[in-house]
Amino acid sequence: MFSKLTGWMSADMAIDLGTANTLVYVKGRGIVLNEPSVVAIAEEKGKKKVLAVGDEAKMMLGRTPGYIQAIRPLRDGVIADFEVAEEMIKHFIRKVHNRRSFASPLVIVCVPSGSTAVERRAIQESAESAGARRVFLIEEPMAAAIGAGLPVTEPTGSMVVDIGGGTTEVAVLSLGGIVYSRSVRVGGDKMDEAIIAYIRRNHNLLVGEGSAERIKKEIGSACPPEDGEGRTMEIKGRDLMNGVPKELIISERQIAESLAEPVGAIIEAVKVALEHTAPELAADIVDKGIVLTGGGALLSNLDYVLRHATGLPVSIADDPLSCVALGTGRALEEMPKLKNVLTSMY
Amino acid sequence: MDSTASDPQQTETPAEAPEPAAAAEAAAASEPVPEPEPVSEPMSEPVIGAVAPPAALAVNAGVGATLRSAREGMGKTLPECAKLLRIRQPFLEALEEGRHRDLPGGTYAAGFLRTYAEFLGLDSEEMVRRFREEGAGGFKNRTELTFPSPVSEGRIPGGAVIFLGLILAAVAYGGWYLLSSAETKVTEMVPPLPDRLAGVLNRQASLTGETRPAGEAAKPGEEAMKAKEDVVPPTETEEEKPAAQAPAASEPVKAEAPQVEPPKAEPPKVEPVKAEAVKAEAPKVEPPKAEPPKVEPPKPEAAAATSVSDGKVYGTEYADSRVVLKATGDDCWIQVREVDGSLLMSRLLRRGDSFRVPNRSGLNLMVGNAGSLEVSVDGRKVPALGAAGQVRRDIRLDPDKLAAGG
Repeated sequence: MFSKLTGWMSADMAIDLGTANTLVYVKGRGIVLNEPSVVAIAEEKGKKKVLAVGDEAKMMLGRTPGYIQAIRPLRDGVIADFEVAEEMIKHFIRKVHNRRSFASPLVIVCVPSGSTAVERRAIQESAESAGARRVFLIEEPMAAAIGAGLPVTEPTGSMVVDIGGGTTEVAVLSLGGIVYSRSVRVGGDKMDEAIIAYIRRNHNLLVGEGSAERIKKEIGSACPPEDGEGRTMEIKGRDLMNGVPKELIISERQIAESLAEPVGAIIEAVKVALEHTAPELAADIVDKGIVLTGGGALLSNLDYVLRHATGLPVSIADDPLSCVALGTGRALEEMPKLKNVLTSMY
Repeated sequence: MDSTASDPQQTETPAEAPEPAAAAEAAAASEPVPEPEPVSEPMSEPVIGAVAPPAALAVNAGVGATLRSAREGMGKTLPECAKLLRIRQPFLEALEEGRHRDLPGGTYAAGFLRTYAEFLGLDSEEMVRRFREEGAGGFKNRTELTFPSPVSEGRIPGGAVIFLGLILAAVAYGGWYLLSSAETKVTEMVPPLPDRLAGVLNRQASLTGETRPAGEAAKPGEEAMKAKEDVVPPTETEEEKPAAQAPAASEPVKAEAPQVEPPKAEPPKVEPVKAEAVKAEAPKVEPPKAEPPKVEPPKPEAAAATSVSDGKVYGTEYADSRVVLKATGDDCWIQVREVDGSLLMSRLLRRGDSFRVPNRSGLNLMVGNAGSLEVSVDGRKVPALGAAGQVRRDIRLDPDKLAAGG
């Protein structure tokens, strides 16, 4: 009764706590915040203080002096640094909830389907100590499928592949539940790492995470171009041989080569999931195919590669980056109806 | 290729699009694909294809037509496209022919269209946008999510119970209100009756030829109904005359009580004090009317009735009553028991209230305030039973004895 009352006054929110980006969906207002999951912490006289969160902190990533640390509190889709994650969630909640701050909000946070109970508990607790009145968890593939607009509650199989920053979730859904899900810890971060490793190995050039991400977004491709080198891009970094900053030109083909391993892992995960799918659901999936969501879906030609690896139609959802947030938000909006998909650790 | 040099930003320029297609073809050839139908009949299009450049048609043609002309411009057949894109041919046909109903749900249809448009070198986002506009009716953007829920066990839902309860409460209250308001109406309707009583009185007075003034006093009230003066039961018209008449009728009777009294043996008790009381509680005068005129045998009785009329009268059912108990001073509690000890009546008589004791032997009276209780036998007042505030028990209500001063 009382919680209902406060519910009217507070802005309930759905949080897609992603490895790369955190999106906040506020009930009735849509997605109001989309910022990188980065926190910059300054140490003043032995006390740690949050200096910046989000975009601002991301600019600091890899460029900090000794007393500042730019941290990404999430790794592989789960919380790696509990305290910093809590600070970040607190900051985001405060940012979107400033107007009606006297009532604490109800928060739905999504978690990777492959996360352990300990990891889920960590996410729920950090959201609670960040000032949430009540916290519910939703599994990422379910949120992604709802956000992509798949008919998840119908008696027909839907397959969704959500390629996030830290994890790739492959799931088959039907009748409002997850029939099979598989989570591999390969995502945008692994692709960045692969690019860094490739450039260092082949060009003796060390590039930062930010640069690697930029390269992936601009000329990244899941398969090499038919012939030629494809698009090219100038990259800057530090030469490992003589230690001076250097610039060189890298091509799409090289990046596609470097990305072969993470892409292969994603394909493998999809194939394994298909192998475990019941025949009736498999028949549905043959008809309608796989839907890609998450930032990884924007990697060019990934749908093409997946299509030819699986022989199924592969389509990319509308606005793949915000599918999970939209789905979580919809679970929030239609909470009485969709409460089956929400869980709580206690 | 040349396109990469000229346009490094776009992967899927129209010129480049055939290349992945070719690669796909190669891939398709190398691995066995469970393609449902290698249809070979719709080969008629390629013949007339390649005539219209896609850009010309794309301006305002439908999405389907744009797709078809683009495909024909590329010189591909539907089965080829279906094989390359792994999208089933019926779906591609439905897309080209704009049959939205044959396509799977919204997301899938949009996804297929996006893939197909990209494959054909069209602007996929633009195509999807137009497709949505076209299919505003049949094409739903937002999937309806209804979770399968267990069949309800036929219990009445809580909401309905509360609703029904509210309705019942409202009906009950409404009924009570109606009934109670009807009651008040009865009391409102009462005042006219003293008028009738006055009429009766008047007639009796005129019959005896005495107490002329009483008749005169009643006159102002009667003027309105002079035509039917002899008709005793009052009609609606005279009922309209309000309570004002009642005091008018009854007051004069009292006012000239000194004159009327001696012959009638009216107790001299009925003084001005009462007259005021009468005025004050004029609307309450109903009891006298409740005791119908017909049970009123002798004149003194009638007079007693009027004199008593200023309070509630209990025991009116005992027509042969000889003893009347009346609270004159303060309120007075009385209890009357039968000879066998059973309770006949027990109540608090308010000032002015009276109780007509049945003409029965062996009745016992208990009185809480003997000083304020006036006892009259056959209309004659007898000495008070005690001092004010005195409690007396076991008084025999024997009229003769009381009259003798016992």
